[in-house]
Order: sequence, then C-alpha cells, then structure tokens
Amino acid sequence: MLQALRTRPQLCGLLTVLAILLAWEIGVRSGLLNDKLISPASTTLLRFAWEWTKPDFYADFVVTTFRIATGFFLAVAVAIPLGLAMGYWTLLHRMFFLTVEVIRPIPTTALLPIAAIMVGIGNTMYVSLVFLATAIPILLASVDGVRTVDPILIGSAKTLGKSTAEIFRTVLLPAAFPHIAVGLRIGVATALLVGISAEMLLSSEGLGHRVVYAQRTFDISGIYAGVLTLATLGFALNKIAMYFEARALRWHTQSKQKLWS
Amino acid sequence: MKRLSGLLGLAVFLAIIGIWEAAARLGLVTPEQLPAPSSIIYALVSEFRDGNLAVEVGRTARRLTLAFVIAGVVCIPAGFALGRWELLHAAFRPLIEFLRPMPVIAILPIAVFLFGLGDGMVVSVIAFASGWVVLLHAMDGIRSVDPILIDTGTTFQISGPRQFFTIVVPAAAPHVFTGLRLGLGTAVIVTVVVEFASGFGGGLGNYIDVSQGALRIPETYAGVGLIGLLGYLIGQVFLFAEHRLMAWHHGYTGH
Repeated sequence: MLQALRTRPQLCGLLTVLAILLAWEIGVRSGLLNDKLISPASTTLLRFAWEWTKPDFYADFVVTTFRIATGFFLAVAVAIPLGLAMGYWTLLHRMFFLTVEVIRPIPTTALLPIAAIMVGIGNTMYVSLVFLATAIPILLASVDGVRTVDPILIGSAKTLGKSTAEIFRTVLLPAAFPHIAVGLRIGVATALLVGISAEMLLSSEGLGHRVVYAQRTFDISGIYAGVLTLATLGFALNKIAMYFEARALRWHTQSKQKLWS
Repeated sequence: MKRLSGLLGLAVFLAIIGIWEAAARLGLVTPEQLPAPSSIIYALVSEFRDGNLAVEVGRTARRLTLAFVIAGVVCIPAGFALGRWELLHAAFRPLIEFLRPMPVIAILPIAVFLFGLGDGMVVSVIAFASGWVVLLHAMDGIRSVDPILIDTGTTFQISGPRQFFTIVVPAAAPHVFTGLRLGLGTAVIVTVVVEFASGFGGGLGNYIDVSQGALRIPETYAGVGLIGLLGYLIGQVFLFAEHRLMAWHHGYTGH
C-alpha cells in the first residue's frame, strides 16, 4: 500500500485532501467540532462556489485586484529604474542608502492611519500603501542586481559606444533581472498582504472587507469561504507572476543550458 | 573614504529632515497631515516620560518575541519533517502549493471568531503568519540539499538520523535563516494589523490607532517610528545570532 502511494505522489496528495475534507465534514456533523464556530466542509465549498455567482462579489473582487495591481505596477515603474540607477552610480547610492535603511523597517501597515489623514480613505490611500510596501523590496533587489552584473559587460557596452540609456535598457536591466525577479515575487506577496490588511481594517468594499463583514455578522460559512477566496486570489496572482517571470527569464535559462551542455 | 560616504548619506538624510521641518514650519503642509519632525520628537520624549509609551513598547515586543519563538519552535521541525519524508511531502504537497502564496492575514477573521479579541488571538495570528514562511523555507531547504553531499555521506557510511542532523540540516540552515528573516518582517507587519483590529490590549499598533483617532498626530508618527525601530532592533539581534551561527557557512562560501 505504502509502496503504491510512494510511486504515485499525486494520488497520495489527492487522498490527503479528501481525507481532510471528510474528517472536517464528519467532525462538524457529528458535533465533535462546534458547528457555531466552524461550518461543514460541504457548506463552505458550496458557499465558495455560490459567491462566484453574485455581482457584488465581483465588484469586491475587481476593487481589490485594481488596488493591488495599481500599487504594484507603480512600484515597479518607479523602483526598478531608481534601483538600477542607485546600483550603477555609486554616488547616488551613497546619498540615499541611509534614508532607505531608515524607511525600510517601518511596517507599511503602521502607515495606514497616517495615509488615512494625508490622502483620505479611498482608492488613493490603498494604492499608495501597496506602492510603499512593494517599492522597497523591488528597489533593494534592483540595487543588488546591478552589483552582480559583470563589469566587463558594462565596459564592452561602453566601448561599443552605447549611450547610458542604452546600457540601462540592454545591459543592466536584463543582467540584473534574475535578482529583480526575486524582489518582484516578494513584492507581489507583500502587496497582497498589505492590500488585504488595509481593507480589513479600513474599508467598506473589497475582498478583505468582505471577510471581516462576515466575521462581524457571524456569517460562519461566509468567513471560511472568504478566507478560501483570499487564498485562491493569492494562488492566482502568484501563478500569473510566475508565468511572466518565466517568460522574461527564458533567455537566461537558455543561456545557462547552452553553457552547461 | 568609507567614512566620507557615510557622511554623505547622513547629510542627505538630515537635509530631507530639514526640508520637512521647514515645510511644516512655513505652513506648506498642515500639522494634521504632516507634523514637523521636532514636534514628533517632542511627542516621543514626553510620552516616554509619562511612561505610557514604554508600556506599549513592552507589550508589542513581548507579543512579537513570543509569537516568533513559537513559530520557530513549531514550524522548523514541521518543515524539516515535510522536507525529509517523501511520503509526507507528497501527501501535503497540493495543500501546501495552493496555500503557499496565501496572504497570511486572511487567518485574522477566523482567529477573531474562534478566540475572541484576547492576547491569545493576537499571538496565534502573528505566530501563524510568520510560521508559514518559516515552514516553507525549512521544507524547501531540506529538499534542495545537494545530493552529492548526501551521497558522500552514504559513502562514508553516515546514514539515517545521523546523516540528517550532521549533513542535511546544516546544509539547509541558510534557507531556514532566510525563512526566519522573512518571517520576522511579516510578523512586524501583521502585529500592527492585529493590534489595530484587536482594539484593546494595547500595544504600539493600538497606540497608533488611538492617537490618530484622538487627532494626536505627532504621537501617531512617533508610534510609527517606534514600531520601525522595534522591528529593526529585533532584526539586528537576529542578524547577530545568524552571523554567529552561520560563520562556518560564510567562511565556506566566501561571502
């Protein structure tokens, strides 16, 4: 039996998921788990599926995705060029590293009340929080990325008469991208974490608010289905990010393969 | 030269603070939006002198440390187990891969619902949030150990638990430390959110929320700065420990 499972890892995983769901269902139905605190697996999954038929769910979904995506892309647009510049020109790095180091450990969620005063509660506030949370890891990854670029590459580009702008676009960005990609992945995770947190604390719309609303109204299956939705959103965003990362890095993996084969 | 570059960074930082101070003094921004740095420092000092702030810092530091220790003690062995036993890994793989990129704060409403608004809820949410990252890194660390190391061990007849603890665990240790470092960052972000949400029970998160509600804006900024400082100090203690424990690794890889 064990041997059979060992050769079929997928089956083993599937069985475990089914076993957990079954134990959950039986546990609640038999009264072993308090049904005022946890809804049965079947109810939760049905509720999760049912949510996708409601227009207001899509409204919340769009709001959350819009906030997170806008903040993230703004951070990408600002932090990557800035990071490349800080990595390339040592003077720029010397000027700003202390300021970045001071800002870095401040958790973005602590800025929520301040952002609420400064720009008012609204989309601008959520977007700017996500932007701040995401920009720092991407910036630091870009600086590190440039530092790992072989100076010979930059030297050759200069010798070939490339302008600084061309060096940035055709040498620094591609060569530093494997590093930047790590920053981007941390950035996606942080964007999601901070975006959802802000919605849970201070919002009247969005998926984060949806779960908290379910909790406040003791809508038990709504809570568990909402958490499942947030996990699914994280899963989907991560898959999309990984797809684009793989596409952007295709040349890198190929050049490595050429080197080794 | 090194000193000079440090001074340049300091000069720019001070210049930014100076411009901020000037902008606040000249009334370019209202004090409700952005109070002057001097008034923030004044608020910080006077709040500490009253003794309010020290209590809040103590509460947050205690929760953060407790939760982080729980996360490490529970999740490193769990990650090791998942990484070591192929069957266990296969069993939980779909679940882990689905939940891997989950925004960990999603657990908050469930925790509030199950445990109420007490300290238990706060600590368990922080422990879960940081522990998840730690678990994933511990698991991935064990699984990515160079097979050559293991084969070499087998050749020298080091197998079983002895192989695991003398070869696999040290080889996976850098991953575990990365996980702990990332987990600490998540823990600080989550602590603030949970203390906001918890409403009572104090802590710096709650302090920020309450001072903002009372329109004591310099105090709000002081609280934000303190949380950053707290996270930074815990991170430094951690880096020091990592440096000590991983000295062999840095020597080995030449970093």
